[in-house]
Amino acid sequence: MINQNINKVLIIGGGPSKVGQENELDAAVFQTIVSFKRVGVKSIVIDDNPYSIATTEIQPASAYIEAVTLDNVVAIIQNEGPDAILPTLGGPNAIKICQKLVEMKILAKYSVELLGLSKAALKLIGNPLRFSQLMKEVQEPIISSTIVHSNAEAFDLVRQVGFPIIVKPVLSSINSRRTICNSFDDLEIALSESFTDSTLNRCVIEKSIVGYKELSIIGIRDPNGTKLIINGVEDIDAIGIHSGDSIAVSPIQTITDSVYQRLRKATLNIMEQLEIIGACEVSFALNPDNNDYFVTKVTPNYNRGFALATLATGYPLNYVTAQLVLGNGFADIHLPHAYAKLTTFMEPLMDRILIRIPLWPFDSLKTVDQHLDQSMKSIGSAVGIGRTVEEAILKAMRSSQFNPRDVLPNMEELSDDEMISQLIHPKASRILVLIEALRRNYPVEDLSELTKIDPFYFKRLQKLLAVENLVVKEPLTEESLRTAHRRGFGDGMLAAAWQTDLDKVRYLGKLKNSVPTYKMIEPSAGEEAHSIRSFYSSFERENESHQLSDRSALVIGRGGNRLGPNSAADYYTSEVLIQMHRLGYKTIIMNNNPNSVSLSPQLSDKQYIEPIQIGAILNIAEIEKPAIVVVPGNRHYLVRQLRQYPDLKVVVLPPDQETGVTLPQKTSFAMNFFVTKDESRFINTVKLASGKNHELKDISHLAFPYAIDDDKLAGLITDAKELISSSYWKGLVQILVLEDQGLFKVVGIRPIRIIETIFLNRISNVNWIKMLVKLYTNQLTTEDLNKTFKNLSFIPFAEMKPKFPFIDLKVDQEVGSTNQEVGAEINLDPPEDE
Amino acid sequence: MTKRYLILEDGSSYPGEAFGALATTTGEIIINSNMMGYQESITNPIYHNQIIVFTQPTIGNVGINHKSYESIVTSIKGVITREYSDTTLNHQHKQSLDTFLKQHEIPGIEGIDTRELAHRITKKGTMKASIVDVDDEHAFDQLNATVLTNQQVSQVATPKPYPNPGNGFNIIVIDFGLKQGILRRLDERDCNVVVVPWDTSVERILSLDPDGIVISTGPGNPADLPKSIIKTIQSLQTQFPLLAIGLGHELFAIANNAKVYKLETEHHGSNHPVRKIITNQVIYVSQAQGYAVDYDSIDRNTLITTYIDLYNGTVQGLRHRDYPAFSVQFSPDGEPGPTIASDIFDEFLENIGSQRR
Repeated sequence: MINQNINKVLIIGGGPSKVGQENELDAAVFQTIVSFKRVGVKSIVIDDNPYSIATTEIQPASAYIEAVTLDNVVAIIQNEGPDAILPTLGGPNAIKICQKLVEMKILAKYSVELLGLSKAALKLIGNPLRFSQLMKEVQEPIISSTIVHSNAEAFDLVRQVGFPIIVKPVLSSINSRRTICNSFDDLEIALSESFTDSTLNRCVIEKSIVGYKELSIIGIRDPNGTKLIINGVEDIDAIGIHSGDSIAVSPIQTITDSVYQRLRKATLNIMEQLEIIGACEVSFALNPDNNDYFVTKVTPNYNRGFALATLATGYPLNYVTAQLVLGNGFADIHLPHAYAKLTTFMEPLMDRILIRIPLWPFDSLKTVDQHLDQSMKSIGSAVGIGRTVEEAILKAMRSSQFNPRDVLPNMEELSDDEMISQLIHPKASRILVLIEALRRNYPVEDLSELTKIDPFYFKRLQKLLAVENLVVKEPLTEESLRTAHRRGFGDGMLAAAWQTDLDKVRYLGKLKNSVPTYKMIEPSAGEEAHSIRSFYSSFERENESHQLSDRSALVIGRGGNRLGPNSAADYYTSEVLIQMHRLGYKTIIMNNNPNSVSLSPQLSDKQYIEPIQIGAILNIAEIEKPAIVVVPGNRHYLVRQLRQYPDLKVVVLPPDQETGVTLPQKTSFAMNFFVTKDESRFINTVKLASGKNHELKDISHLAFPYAIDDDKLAGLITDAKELISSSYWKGLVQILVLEDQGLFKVVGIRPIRIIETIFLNRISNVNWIKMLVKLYTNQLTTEDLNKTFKNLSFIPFAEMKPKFPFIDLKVDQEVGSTNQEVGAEINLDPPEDE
Repeated sequence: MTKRYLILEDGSSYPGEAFGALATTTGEIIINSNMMGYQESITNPIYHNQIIVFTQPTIGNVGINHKSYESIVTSIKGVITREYSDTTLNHQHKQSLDTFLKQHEIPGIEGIDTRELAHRITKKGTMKASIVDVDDEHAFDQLNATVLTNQQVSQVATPKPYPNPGNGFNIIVIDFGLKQGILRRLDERDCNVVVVPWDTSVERILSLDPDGIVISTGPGNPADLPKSIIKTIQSLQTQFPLLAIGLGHELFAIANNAKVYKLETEHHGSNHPVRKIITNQVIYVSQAQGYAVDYDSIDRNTLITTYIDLYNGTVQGLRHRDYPAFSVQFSPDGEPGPTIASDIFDEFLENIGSQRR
């Protein structure tokens, strides 16, 4: 039953995106607000991430656009007097703040209840000592490390635990030297080095688990103590590569049921001991030779794993968790009608495979060490969902290609030496190297030995190669088309391989009836009657997806996160969905980023988890016959392809900037306009700053207001309007101005970019994305426009600064360019000295 | 790749690719929604004469290992999957599923839209099906003409008694199609076990000097078994602590005047919430049932309902009011599936212990 004392909950937001954290926290906060609202509980959110849908969609008075700090949280508690606080959706920072709130007895002082975490679970996070105590309590094995003082002591220990082991000096003068030893000879050398390094003449010895399978299981528990498993994830890469940099598979593929049941039991026991209410992830290292396992991590707060679990199973994890923390049990929760009865209570089943491939930022950050190791280097990921492992792998690969061109990947140029080196010390293009090695007929057993990847996965890749062979050998035959389709090959891929055009391949598909069938992503493996509107494609017998509406908008999501304004674009995409829906369209989103906010089921009427490729888009368009196809963000190649199909009414927002823009090298500030076919109206001025000397390409720091003398402004507006009338831009248009020793000069014109549109939304009382969508769907009237501008007002001050991943990725760089951003923060407090 | 067909009684036909044996077989088709443990399901004697459709999209991933058998004789009629995935062999799995099925003359078909099949069978209920080379009229005629046996128990249960020695309590397991998980759980508790054939007489059982009796799982409809079985249970429950599982549970219910009915939708999986009534605890257990005890037919003066499936309301456990005899519909040994309910074996042994005191 719901705790009647909780009417107002403070939710701590995740702050700006960073390495290891995209929009998944914001998506979770947003869905939690929706779920709270359903039972009449009010939410308050603190977050300074400008790209937060949660702070946009909530009542403005309940959104605190402030840095997520202890002081700010305390101030909100004092101001608002919330009944409870929810720290689980704000990443490690929110947990740290909450740990302090408990320590300082602030929660007790203001009678604020802690939701989502027991005191024990809160203490556990980031506390290795507490973790080992907990594991002792539940009698689960962990990798223990022991401090030794002498060779004799070390040798005795190793005789007990066995090789391989890792030796580390205690308080080393040299940073983090870790030596893996496989024999007593290795050990002797490592010890002598490490004792010398250690300022205390001591070493830590721990068992090496490099090469073990890495698995994680997510469970959920209600206040009555009922516990069920949501899903399991297996990393294809063994321990040694950070889990965030590993290719991940759900459900788990390569362990037996009896081994799985041991892990399941451990997960549930740990959750019981911690009195988790909501979800919890437990990670394991499993020795593939004897199935011994160790618990490596317990995560009782929201992370990427939870987002993946939701996407993989179709279980409404965020919605349910929000209800559980309020006191409801599984049986008490009323889900939306789309779900079959008792869905909250049924352990999710999967009749599909989801594979996640990480995306690395090495194109934008050339100086990063590209080798994958124990620290996470990927900044995004893309998933492929299919009915077989092969299909899911290939779809994930198609989804993870930044460039939407369909090409069969090839690494012919790699020398054998370099290949073996990369097999042992993997880099970003891992999967392509594995495929190339198989192409060169390296035996599966040897590859498995070198990479510690289960042979099962090499067998799957071999199957894909066999299909590739068939495709190459038999162009344009029914047999090769059908086989390729069923293994996840895209039509574009086949067109490229067959050196023909896409339409020809598609025609053959229709002729031979090899067309996609869409399968519902629901948690009962077809045993219950769900009407969830989330789908992925397969090539089978039964199609479950039908045209949603004769007035639908298909919105093409951004796919996996990259450096550059991607989390902004995902936010922008979400806003487009919201606004299209409000304008009476049924909205359909196509995306493959498990961490995106735009895939939140509450934001669209229908979701397709598919590669963002022209063939896949056309397939969906065939079923949905959308009235409009919206492409948020600049994607020249994709847009050019789409425009070849005049039946698709394609709208690019902001308009495609491939041609027609004038961009100066330097600029000082921008003048923003809203332009219709009849007129152009001045909105405001925004200061543009960069780390380096007003270079346009580096500009990512925006500030408002930008003060300028009224007369000068009037003159500039006249110049600007002239320039605008000679261009063909409509909607949000930006004029770039350079200030030089008191003189102002109009130097450029372009459509207002995504991050600046969002900034404009944040500082004014107008939703400019709504205005754009209205304009582009011919629904903007002159009255609308007049009313908007009559009531237009701005907040007094705002600045938005980019966040760069340089420290996380150990890059020696301070100033970054727009395409190196990982996120941004917004500040609405005027500087003190003004 | 050999193209073969799965054909159903309702006239539908599913082309797919053969793996395992190329035999032509007919059986009852059922959906198994466990996410793992294909070997345990395939070797479970309760699936005797049935064709199993796995909703887990791929099977074969971990080969066949000696620890996951539920019986030595495998007598299912076929395996249907979206994808058969083999792997290399190693010391843990020395045989592939494909080889195993070939050795046991069991056909498999892969490449089938098992999700569509799950929809169909959930809607229409269990039906007859065949795995054939050609899906012509003749094949359908054959399928329709086939009368499936109702003598499954006598076909799978051991014809002769055999022991599984231990130092603890002397447990007599009556085999109706015993899954080995039950023996493993008793073995872990150091029981001295004698497995006897399903039609063993009370006198013969008494001569073995039991401390407790286990009535095992098994295939088929309890109504197809001779009434003498019911009499045996009625006699034994008054004399010894008794644990009945699966088909055994259904027989135990009948022996105490309850009725058993055929489920419209069979359930073979481990995702239903099951409430233990005495503690209100909800657990997830390994279930495989085509029949259920009719709740309304239970004489409350004789039997107490102990577990209930919260999804379909089926009775999942019973306890006798007067004797230390109880039963569960689900498989407390797991295999495949959760093992949380294996404390039922402890409960059984406690019953024996307190009886002896």
